[in-house]
Amino acid sequence: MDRAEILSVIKRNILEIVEDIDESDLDPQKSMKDYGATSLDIVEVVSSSMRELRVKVPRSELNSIENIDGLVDALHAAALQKAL
Amino acid sequence: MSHQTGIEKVRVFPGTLSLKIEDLCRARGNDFASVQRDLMTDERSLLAPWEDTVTMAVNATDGLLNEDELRTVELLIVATETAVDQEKPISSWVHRWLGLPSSCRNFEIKHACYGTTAALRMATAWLQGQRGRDCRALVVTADENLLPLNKPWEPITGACASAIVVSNRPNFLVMNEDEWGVFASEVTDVIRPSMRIETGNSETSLISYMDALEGAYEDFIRRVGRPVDFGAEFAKHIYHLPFAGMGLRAHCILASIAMGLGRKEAKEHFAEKVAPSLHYSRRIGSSFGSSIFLALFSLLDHCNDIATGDKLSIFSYGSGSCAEFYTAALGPHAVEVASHGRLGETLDERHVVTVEDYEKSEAARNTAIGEPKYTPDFEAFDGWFQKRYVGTGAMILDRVEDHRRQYRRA
Repeated sequence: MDRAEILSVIKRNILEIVEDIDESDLDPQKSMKDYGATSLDIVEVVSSSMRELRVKVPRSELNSIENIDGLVDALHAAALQKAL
Repeated sequence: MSHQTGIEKVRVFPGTLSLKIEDLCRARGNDFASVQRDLMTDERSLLAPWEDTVTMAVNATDGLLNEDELRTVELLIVATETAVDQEKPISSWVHRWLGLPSSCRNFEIKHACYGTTAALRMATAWLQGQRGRDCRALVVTADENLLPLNKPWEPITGACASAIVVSNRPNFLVMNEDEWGVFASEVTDVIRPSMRIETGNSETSLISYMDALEGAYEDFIRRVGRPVDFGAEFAKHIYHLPFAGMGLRAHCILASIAMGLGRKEAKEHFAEKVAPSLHYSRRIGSSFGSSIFLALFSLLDHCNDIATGDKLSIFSYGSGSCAEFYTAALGPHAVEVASHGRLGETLDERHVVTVEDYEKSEAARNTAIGEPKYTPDFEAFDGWFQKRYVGTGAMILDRVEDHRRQYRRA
């Protein structure tokens, strides 16, 4: 599972859960909050993405993620760890 | 020989004061429309200065059982995360003020909002060991938030108590003792490191809730050992509601796991199967271990498409964390039990307080915790004590002297 695949899953979940976003606007360097996502939206995006990708990131690590790219990194690292 | 066990009666006591979340949002500069849309909170229940978790526990239970029924109570468990003493359990006061037999075993337990489900499990297991003897267990849960002023979670705080009678006459809810799944995982999401402080991380708690929902459902599927048709098997779904909006988020996740539904379809399924259970949660705010019973009452008071024997899925979560997904069936008198509880009317009868009075009262309550001497302000809230309490026989905290809590009937 590469980063592009993980980003695509996260993007799809953001578009489904957070209202009024256009896919072309989504910049991975930005935080979901920049697009008007609430804490509940973010939790649902993270939870759905983890489940879909079948990986788990420790809850303590999730608190320090600052943008969409950070979430991709965390999920990617978890996927690599799982593959070992 | 097996006997049907479950919940015979329930009563919910939401306190006698309320605060409008719209007023709170205005005072804090928050957008009420977004709070209403995401968190789905409209009001919160608030405790009067002369009420605490002891009086709430007693006031929830008073009159629920008649004299003959009280004599059959052999087990009393109080579940709370708002204990008033680190040694003496709330159950001791409940035992005394209800006039329960001296042979009635009683204790207090804690596991955040899951504690009530744990107590219910202990009560049903104990009852099954009584081999059909005519006896009852009483589970009482009572909680309130600690000083939430200006905290991010202030719009979802509340106070509530419930009394749950467990017996071989499950008129309200029949427990399916072999259909459950548990998920336990240590986490520091919401904590009370002292009797005055409540703190934590909301996002961590929400993620934990979601993990626990998924984990408990997986354990449930593994244990039942048969295919479960999630869409057809359950008439409705009940979720632990730290705030009503959690019901939507939880159901979207579970509908995706169990039925493969996309978010749009999951929201439609939610509207039919979950939304009717949220009405009272919207009006009480955080109700801790009571939330499942509020949801059941809301369902029974607002739904015409449910009937005796209908199977429900129930999810309970407690910070810390432990969670359980289990099933139960509506008992033959479930609608009457809810209607007898008059919860909607009781909520309407609460006195609406101003933000200023709420702040003053909560600050005074917090300052009094652990102090050797305390006298509640019986003049607070426009003479509400005189208007609502005097002559009713409701239990109240009269004063604290030398750390000893003195209660009396109003």
